[in-house]
Amino acid sequence: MRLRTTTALAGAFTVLCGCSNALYFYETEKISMSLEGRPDSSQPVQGSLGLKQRVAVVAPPKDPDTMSRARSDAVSMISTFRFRKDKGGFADLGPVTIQTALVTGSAATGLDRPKTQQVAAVQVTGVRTVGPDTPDIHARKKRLTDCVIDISDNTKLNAIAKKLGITPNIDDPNGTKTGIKTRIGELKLPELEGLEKSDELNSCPQ
Amino acid sequence: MPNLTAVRFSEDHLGLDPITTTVQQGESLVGPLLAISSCESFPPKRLTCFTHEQANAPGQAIELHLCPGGAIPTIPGKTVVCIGNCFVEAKLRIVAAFR
Repeated sequence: MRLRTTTALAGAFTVLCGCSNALYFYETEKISMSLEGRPDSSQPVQGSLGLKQRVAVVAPPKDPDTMSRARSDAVSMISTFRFRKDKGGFADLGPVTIQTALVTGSAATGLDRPKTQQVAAVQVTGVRTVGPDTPDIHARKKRLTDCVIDISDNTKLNAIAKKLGITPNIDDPNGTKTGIKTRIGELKLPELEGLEKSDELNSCPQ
Repeated sequence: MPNLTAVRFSEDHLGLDPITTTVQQGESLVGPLLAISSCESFPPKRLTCFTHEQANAPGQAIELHLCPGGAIPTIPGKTVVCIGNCFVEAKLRIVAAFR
């Protein structure tokens, strides 16, 4: 039996956003091949090719002390996987090529628009949407927004805005309050809990 | 002085009742509803954009109703606040808000 050369190429690259510890990337690939031939010429040569791939990306909060979510570069990512097996001769043992890639940040969102992966990147980048909250969650959000309305200290207001990842309005604190209230309405439970515990809002009246 | 506005986006799969609850909660948090519009500027997402005016929350809860054929239904004792494109259960519909 003649065994042709089988090659496997696995590649991965990542474009980090420049922030240390902002993104964790893990990838492992295992390839195995088995061939079984018998002296009996009436029995065909049997073979199997197995591939196992694991890709994991963890984008932790931008600021671990607050509920601020990682944004922009850290959460825009595309992972691609391409498997190609060329035709071979005996027992069809042509070369196998595996190409993988992980692209993050503007490189990911800047790919050609028609590509479905680019669309996926926009999806990951995300728009914060709202849906019906439970009465309890809504009451907690309402308590915080009422508290924000009463804040007259601009420094405190800007600190909350920063924690929520929104831009303070330099013309009018009411503009900042509008942004904060809107964002509070969009918060998921872990973020809401984080904001409730923040120095600026942990003393809001119950 | 005119009031500031805030926008909230909802996903396209929601039914009219969850959307109504969402808008009512939005009025409670950021102010009365001003406008409803569809938003497909973030493909592949299809979103509905609710614009709220930062003003005192109105006393009466808002109601949303479908407008089959574009005809605005008559709701006794209610007046139309606004109408607009709205994704309801993944379909783009005309929805009227009443108070």
